[in-house]
Amino acid sequence: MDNALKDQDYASLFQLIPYIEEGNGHLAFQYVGKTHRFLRILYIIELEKKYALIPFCDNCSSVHTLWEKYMLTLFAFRRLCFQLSGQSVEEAVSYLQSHPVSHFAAHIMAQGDLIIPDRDFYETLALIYTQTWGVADREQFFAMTKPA
Amino acid sequence: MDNHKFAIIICANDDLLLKECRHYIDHLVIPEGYNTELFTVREAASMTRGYNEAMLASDAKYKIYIHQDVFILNRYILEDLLSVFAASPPNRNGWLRKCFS
Repeated sequence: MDNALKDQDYASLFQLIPYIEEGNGHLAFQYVGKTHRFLRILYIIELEKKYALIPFCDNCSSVHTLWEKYMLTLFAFRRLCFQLSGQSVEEAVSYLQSHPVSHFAAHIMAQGDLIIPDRDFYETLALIYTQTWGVADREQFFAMTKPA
Repeated sequence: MDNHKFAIIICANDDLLLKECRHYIDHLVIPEGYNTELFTVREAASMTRGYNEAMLASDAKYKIYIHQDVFILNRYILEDLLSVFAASPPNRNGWLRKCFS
């Protein structure tokens, strides 16, 4: 994964998906929580490439930086949900705006990491990313996050 | 023993997680008349050994042991814990009943 990220070799990166889902990497998926997140990241990047969006792994030349980006984004999402203080939320908003993610990443991360967000959370995210997400992106985001 | 002190003991090996864990701890409401101290256990031979070393290093009456990936959401947990201990007789069963009621 390190080499694929360094070389921006998306073909190699996407080969990891079946490797984790069904191949030799499945054992790690079953027993190592971190693998679940890595698979989630791969799904995100795959979707982003399909829709010609800036991939989540942009500016991440190693597994370490990619992991850091995922976790810091997740922490920021949680701070928005839990609203410990004004400063906590401000720091989260600042981070998210400085390190924008796609609407696919926002949706998949919120769902996959069981943040159990409410409508307010999704609307807050859309507001934070007003400058980053296009109109079609926002519509798709709200369609994906619409309660069943 | 300091009866008005909480020691929060964190076992950690990841700075990213530890920093976020501490962010939530920093937002805890500290009951009036009480204070807190934080211990971060790193590079312990095992988690239990790490916790034991910190336990012995602190004179706090109340010791809270958490891992680096625990983020305490309830800002009033320290007050809640004091209420639990005050309401229940000082025996394990009473405390457990209260916690899960």
